[in-house]
Amino acid sequence: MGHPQVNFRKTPELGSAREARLINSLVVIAYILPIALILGPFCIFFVVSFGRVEASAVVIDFNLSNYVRILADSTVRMVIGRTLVIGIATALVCTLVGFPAAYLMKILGPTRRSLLMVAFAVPLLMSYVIKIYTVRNLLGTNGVINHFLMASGLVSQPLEFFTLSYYGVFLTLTSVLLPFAVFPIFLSLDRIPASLVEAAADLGASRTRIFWTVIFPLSLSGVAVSLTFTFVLAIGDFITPELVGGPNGFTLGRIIFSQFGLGFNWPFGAALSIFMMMIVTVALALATRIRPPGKVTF
Amino acid sequence: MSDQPLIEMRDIGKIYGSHTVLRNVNLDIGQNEFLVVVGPSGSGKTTILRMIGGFVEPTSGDILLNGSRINGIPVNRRPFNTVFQDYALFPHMTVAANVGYGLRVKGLAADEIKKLVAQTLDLVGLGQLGSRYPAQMSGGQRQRVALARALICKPRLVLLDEPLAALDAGLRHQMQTFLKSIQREIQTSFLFITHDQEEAISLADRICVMDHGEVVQVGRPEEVYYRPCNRYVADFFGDNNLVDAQVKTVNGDGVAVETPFGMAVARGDQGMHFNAGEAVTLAVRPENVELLGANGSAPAGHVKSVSFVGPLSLVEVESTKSPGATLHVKQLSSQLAAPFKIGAGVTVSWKGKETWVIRK
Repeated sequence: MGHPQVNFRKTPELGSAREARLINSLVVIAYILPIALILGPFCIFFVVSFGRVEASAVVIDFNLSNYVRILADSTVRMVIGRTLVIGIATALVCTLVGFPAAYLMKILGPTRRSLLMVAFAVPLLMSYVIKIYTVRNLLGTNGVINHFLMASGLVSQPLEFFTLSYYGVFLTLTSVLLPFAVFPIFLSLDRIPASLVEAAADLGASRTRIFWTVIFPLSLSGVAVSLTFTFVLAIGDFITPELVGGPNGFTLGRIIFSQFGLGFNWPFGAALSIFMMMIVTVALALATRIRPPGKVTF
Repeated sequence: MSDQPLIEMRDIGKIYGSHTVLRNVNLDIGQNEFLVVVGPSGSGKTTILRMIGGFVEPTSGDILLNGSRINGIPVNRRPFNTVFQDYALFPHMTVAANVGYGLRVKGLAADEIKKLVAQTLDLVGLGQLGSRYPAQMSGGQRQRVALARALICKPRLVLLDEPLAALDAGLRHQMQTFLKSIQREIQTSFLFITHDQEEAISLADRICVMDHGEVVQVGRPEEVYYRPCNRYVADFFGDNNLVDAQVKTVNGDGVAVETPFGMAVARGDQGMHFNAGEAVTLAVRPENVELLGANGSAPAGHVKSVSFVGPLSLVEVESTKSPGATLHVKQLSSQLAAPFKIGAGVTVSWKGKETWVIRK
C-alpha cells in the first residue's frame, strides 16, 4: 500500500487528439446554439405571420392579410408612426444628453471618472421593472413632479408632459436608456489618441475648434452605436408603455405584446414583429453611414 | 542681434510628485540651429521638447523666446510646430487637409491654402498624394506628411520627437539626409529628440547629452565625440577606449599620464584642474591609437585578438603590466603584417591631440 498510485493514462495530454475532438465539438455547439435558438424561432415566426386565427386556433394558410392590415389599418399605422417618433426622439435626446456626459467622463481625473462610470452603470444592474417604477412615481397627474410644480405655484394645473401618457413613455425610455448612449460614446472618445488633440493644439487650434474638427468626427462611430442602441431598444420596448403609457401610450411593442396575450392573435403579432425587424434593419443600415471619412483605425 | 539665441531654457526643473524629471536644465537653441537632444529613455529629453512646445509647464525656471518669457503661453499660441513620434496625423482627413490644417486655423483663404499645401507637399516629395488618406500611406510617407504639416505654418522652431524611431534602417538614413537638407533650405531652427547617438552625430549642429534629467554636455558633434566631459558621455558615443590612468604632470591643458600601456600625453578640459597623482580615465578612439612593433624594447602589451572588418581591422591589445586591461585599436588592414600576429609584443603610440583625459 503506502504510495498513492497515479494513473497517467487518465490525464489527457495537451493537444491530444481527444482534446482536439472536444474543442471541435464545443465550437460546433457554439455555432449551432445561436442558429437553433435565434434563427429557428425566427423561421417559425415568419411562417406564422402568414397565418390567421380561426376558432381560437392558429391556422397557417399562407395569406398576406396580416401585412395588408398593418398597412391598411389606420390605428396600427398611427401607432407605428408614434413609435417611430418616440424611438427617434429617445435616440436623439439620449445621444445629445449622453455625449456631454461621456465627454465629462473622458476629461475627468481617474477617481471622478470611476464614480461617474459607476453612477451610469448601476442602473444597468437593476431590474428593468424597478427602474420603470421609480420613474413612474415621478410621473402622473399627482406624481412627484406635477405635485411639486403645483405646490410651488409654478403651474396652476398638472402638466400633461409629466403624466402617464405618450410623453411619460418618452421620458421613461430616455432616462432608462441613457447608459446605452453614454458608454458607446465614452468608448469612442477614449480611443482617440491624445497625440491627435495635442497635434491640433500645436497647429494653433482652440479647444472649440479641436472639438469640432478632431474629437467630434472621430467619435462618430460611438454616436452611431448610441443612436442605434437607444432607437432599437426604445421602439421594441413593451414594458415601459404598458406601465407608464396610460390609455394613449400605445406603441408597436405594446401592441405586439398584446397580440400574444389578451388579443390572442399570434399571426398578426408575428407579422408586426417581422415588420419591426425590417425597421430595425433599415435603422442599422442608416447607422453604418454615420462615420468619419477615411479609414480610422485605432 | 544674431547672437541672441532663439530659445533659452534657464534653470528649468520639473517634478512630478516625488519624481524629478528635469533638474537645473540650462540650454540654448540658436537661430537656424539644428540641435539634437540625445539620451537614454527616461533621461528627460522628451520633457524638454514638450516644455518648449507648451504641452508641459516647468515646475521652476524660465523659457525665453528671443529674450521674452513664454512660460504659461498655451500650446496653440506658441510659434512652434511639432512632428510627433507617432506622426499624429488626423485619420479622417486627407493628406492635403492634414497639411492645410494649421493654415485653416489661421483663417487663410481657401485658394491660398491650396497653393501653399501643393508647394509644401512638393517640398517633401509627396506632390501627387494630397487626396489620399493617411491609412493609405507608408510609414515614411506619413512621416513626410507630418513634417509638411508642421513646416507649412512657418514655425520659428520645429520640434521633432524621435520622428525616425519607427522607420527601418534604410529609410532612416534617407530621412536623416532629407531632414538636414530641408532644415538648410528653409532656414529654421530644429530641435530633434533621439536616443540614437549615431543619428545625433550625423544630424546635429550641436548635441545636448542628457542623463537622469540633467544636461551632461552640450557641444558640437566632434566635441562630444572626441572630447567628452565625463565617462558617461565617453561611453555613450560608441566605441571609446576607457583606460584607467594616473596623472604625473600637468602643463596647461596638457596632462602627462601613466597608463597600463606606458606613458601618454593627453589633453583635458582646462577648467577641470587635474592634480598630479590623481586617478583619471583616458577616453581615446580606436582609430586614434597606433601600434608599433616592439623592436627589441620591452613591449607594453601583446596582441590578444585581431578581427578583420574591411579596410580597418580591430586589434585588441592586452597590457603586460596589468593583465586584464585591454585597448582596442583600429589599424589599416594593409598594415597588418607579421608584428601584429596574435601574441606578438607591441608598443602603443598615442596621438596626444586626440587622447582625452576625464575625471574617473
